[in-house]
Amino acid sequence: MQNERITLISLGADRKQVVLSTLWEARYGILAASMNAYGRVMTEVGIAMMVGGNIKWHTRTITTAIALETSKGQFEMGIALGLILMAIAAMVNISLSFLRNRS
Amino acid sequence: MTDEHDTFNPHWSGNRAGGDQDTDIYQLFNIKKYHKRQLAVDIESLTISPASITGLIGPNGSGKSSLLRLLAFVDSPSEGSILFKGRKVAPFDASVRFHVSLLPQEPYLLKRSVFDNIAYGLVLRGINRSRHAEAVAGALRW
Repeated sequence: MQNERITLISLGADRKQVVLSTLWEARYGILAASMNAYGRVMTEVGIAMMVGGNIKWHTRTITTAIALETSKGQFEMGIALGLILMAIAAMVNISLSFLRNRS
Repeated sequence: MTDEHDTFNPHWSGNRAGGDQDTDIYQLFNIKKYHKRQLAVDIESLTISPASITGLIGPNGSGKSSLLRLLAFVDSPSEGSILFKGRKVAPFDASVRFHVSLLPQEPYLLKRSVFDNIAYGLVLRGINRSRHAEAVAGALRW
């Protein structure tokens, strides 16, 4: 932000202090962006399946495991994994909205 | 927007009531500042002496704020040089940073407490935290 930069420099900040202060000013935005990205990664299924290949202990994520269990007919396992995933995603989203409200 | 005609272009120097014994605070020579190829500031020469008040008058977009940003060393000129107390100043020069301040027309408040906002200049100057409370209280009493 131009005004912030002007204020920081004219108060006597050097280059490093301007960068650090700007990051600190944008902390809520940066945190929200990271958590948003985390949520998106957590719930990704198509790319994980296509690129990773859903290999057990290597590239199997909760979402790909759900897809596999469901197609195997093991719906109970699929639903259980789905609940865990939903709980994690809900936690991330609740924290995100909390941070949004604070900023 | 600006064109060559209404670009701010003062040809007068600040008054010299402060006397000539001190070095001029600012000496500007052939300063040009472009914003995206648009000429915003074009000054052949401008001298600002100690103990003088200099006023800048001009229509919107004539480069007043751009000139102030140059004088505060927040921006650097596209062409020409600005001497501060007879010295050329590099960006973020410590000898100037703590002596020149620009109060922007839209002040920016840091997302911290009022105390931290006021004490920020002290933090930048590396002044011991134990002395902040007194200095901030003094500034608030004003």
